Amino acid sequence: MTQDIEVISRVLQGDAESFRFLVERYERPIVRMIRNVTGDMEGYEDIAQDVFFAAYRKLSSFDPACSKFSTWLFTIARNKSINALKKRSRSMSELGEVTNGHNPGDELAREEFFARLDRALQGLPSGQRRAFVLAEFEKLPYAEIALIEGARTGTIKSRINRAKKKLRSVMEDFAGGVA
Amino acid sequence: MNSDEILELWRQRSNQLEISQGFSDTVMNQIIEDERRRSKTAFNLRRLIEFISSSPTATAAVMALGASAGITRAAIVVLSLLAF
Repeated sequence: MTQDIEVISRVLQGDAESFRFLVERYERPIVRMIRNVTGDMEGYEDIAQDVFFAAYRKLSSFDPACSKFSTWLFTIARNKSINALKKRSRSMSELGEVTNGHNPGDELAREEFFARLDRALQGLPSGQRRAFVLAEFEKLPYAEIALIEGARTGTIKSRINRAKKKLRSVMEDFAGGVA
Repeated sequence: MNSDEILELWRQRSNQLEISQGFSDTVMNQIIEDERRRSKTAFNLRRLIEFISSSPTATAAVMALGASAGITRAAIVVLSLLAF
């Protein structure tokens, strides 16, 4: 955190190359979050590049008193993901497509199962999907997700619970096969 | 296997994400290119202002241009009022 702030002040003083430290530090969680939120398996790196570029351009507006740099960056990633989804406007009705009968011991079946979970994730309403991804994949605390989403902590908890409930039916299908 | 274990497996799979080798280079190139473009634009604008203020002919030309624009605008307003 302190290191981020030191780097940011160097960048703001004109040392653009120092921004590389922030890109390398956060590229993985940001790229992963965008891929999971948008479900875009091809263009997610382009969106992530846009996020870092926008962060660089707006860096002077970052206020360390309001949030951590990572929270601020995730907020930009959230907004870029929403814009990307609006552009794409996909049909998201695949949640009900889960079927039984695969062998969970089979690696191929396992991959197919996770692909179904990915599709089920994409079938969730976007607010629930983002909250779920940030909580379960990025392991961010609820208060931080609330800051990113501009919502109350209670709303975030409720979105995550609803997302889990919907995904559980897909998971139980697999768990049943293993037991 | 319960839901939590499945979620953990799913998370591990998600963490195995491959990022292009040159990801940070691409971002940094974009940033450096943008910086270069912006400093070039700012430099040209500064040079133009410096040129205008240092050359009496250029200053007179800019003032004449401004005055003629003002006179033209005033003339259009007066002609419009007279047309009523």
